[in-house]
Amino acid sequence: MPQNNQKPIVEVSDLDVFFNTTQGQLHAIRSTNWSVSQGETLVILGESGAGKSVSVHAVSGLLPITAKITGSIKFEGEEILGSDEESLRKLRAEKIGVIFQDPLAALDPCFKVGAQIAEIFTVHRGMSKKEAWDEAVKLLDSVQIPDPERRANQFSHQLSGGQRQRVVIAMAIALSPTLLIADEPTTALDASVQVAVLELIKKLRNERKMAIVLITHNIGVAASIADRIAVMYGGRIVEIGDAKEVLQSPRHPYTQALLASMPKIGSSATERLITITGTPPSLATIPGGCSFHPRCSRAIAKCSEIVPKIELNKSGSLHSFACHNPEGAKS
Amino acid sequence: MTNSGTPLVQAIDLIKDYKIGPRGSRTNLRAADHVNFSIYRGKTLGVVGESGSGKSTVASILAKLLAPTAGSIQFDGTDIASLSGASLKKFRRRIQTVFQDPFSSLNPKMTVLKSISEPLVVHKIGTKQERVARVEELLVMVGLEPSYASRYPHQLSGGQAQRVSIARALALQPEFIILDEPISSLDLSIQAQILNLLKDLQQKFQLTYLFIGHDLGTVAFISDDIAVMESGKIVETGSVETIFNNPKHEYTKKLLSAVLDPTKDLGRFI
Repeated sequence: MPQNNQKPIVEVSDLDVFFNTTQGQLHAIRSTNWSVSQGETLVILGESGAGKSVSVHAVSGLLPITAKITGSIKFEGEEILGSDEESLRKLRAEKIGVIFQDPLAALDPCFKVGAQIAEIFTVHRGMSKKEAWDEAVKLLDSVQIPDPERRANQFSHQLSGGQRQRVVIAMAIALSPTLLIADEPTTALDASVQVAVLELIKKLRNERKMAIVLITHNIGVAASIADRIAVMYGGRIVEIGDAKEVLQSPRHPYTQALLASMPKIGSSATERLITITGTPPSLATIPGGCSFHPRCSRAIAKCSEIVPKIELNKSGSLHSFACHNPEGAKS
Repeated sequence: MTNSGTPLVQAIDLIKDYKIGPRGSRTNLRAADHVNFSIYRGKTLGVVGESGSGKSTVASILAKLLAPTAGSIQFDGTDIASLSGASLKKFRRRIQTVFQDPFSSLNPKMTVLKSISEPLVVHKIGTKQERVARVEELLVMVGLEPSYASRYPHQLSGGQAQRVSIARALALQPEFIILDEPISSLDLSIQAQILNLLKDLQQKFQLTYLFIGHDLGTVAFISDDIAVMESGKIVETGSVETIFNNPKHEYTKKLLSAVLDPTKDLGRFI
């Protein structure tokens, strides 16, 4: 790993997540392994229902109470699965910041944005109201909101989409967390605002040496920010590795097909796009064997029976994938 | 601009003002500001712009769902403002819309059969048996099994539901279809399927499209010409090649630089 010298912030191993529903038990996440180090950005890429959000919120502890989590989640070397509610609460408050997709839903419409940020400091740092407010204004300045004093006095409906997301980012980094979880942080934003927000996240990562786990379904977003990429499909990680390698020489047929199906700028108007047939499975209908086999052009008999193991190459390779019949293999 | 003969749709100096603000201190918001464009038969005009730039306002005026404050729309040589009664009903058959979210544009209480055949019922086309046969034909056309006719929207995936919306738009054999962000709410691996479908249908039926989108890559793939909108104005218009290779307006350049192209972004590693 390029960040091998940095200490790992989160290490997830053999993580399984089940949900108990009225229709029986859903097996949402299936034996996933990933980690993220200080100053590193891991992007989890996948379509809806792939299990991206469930994976990271198993770490942040934001899964519903019906979720059953097995495996191991280590945060800065300490096992957090099964630890008591009070220490988890403290960990979440101090060490983990979360940014969600829709900033309007993440902010309270009835309070000034400055007050919402200041509350964090009064509760967790015991500051006086005045101190906390000044701290909030400083924070707004550091997420590049112009005229932060005036903005702090405004309500969320008076801000633009990009500014709202900056406020949410400010709240997430207020207590200097070591891990920032960004769940589709730019999906609700316009294209040019999206670029600016990604730039801000990059800048904060470099300044504060946070580990970032960013969830997206947008390959462009992944390419612009990721150090490493994990591709998820049907509750499993099917490919993980160095961003450059995953995007330039993808090995899993799903990643390959996904990259090929993107319209490229400058492609002629008479061209057709390469498509993946069928639809992504819902968590209730994940097929046996490799989750992708019903839609895969390279599927062989084995694929519907045995789950391919993700080959973690010990020889220092940064790139691993789970496939019985990858391109270039003897079949 | 690619032109061949007279345009099917022509927007002439469209202006749309909305009154906003509390009563007594109303102000004007100009959502469409002197908008001009032409769309030729069998071609696609892509409209790009960020949220609030007036794309959907223009689309609603084209479909005669909104009346412009000033200016006019010529459809096949007729000013659509002059249409009413029987002539308006005839116009409605020739122009259809597909919206972004198929689940909010399909009635959850109606089966696919009922949804797709509703336009046929409204326009009193065919007997009941004929309509059922037509719905099955349309389903096959958009790549679904005829058995889907008995399903309800909640039994469909996003891509399937969008195919149903497209089938409904095709039911009356329209000439012009407004596609208002038709793939934005779909999964990545489904977007390419729907784009290909739209392209195939266009060739097969000589359809004319207005394609609204915010992703330049997608819009470029399906369009012949592109109009770039910013706060109600069309700031630049031209063929896809001209817009991409030789953008003139600052805003177009800004939009182009905001395209997150993985192949381009990978340059940072080299």
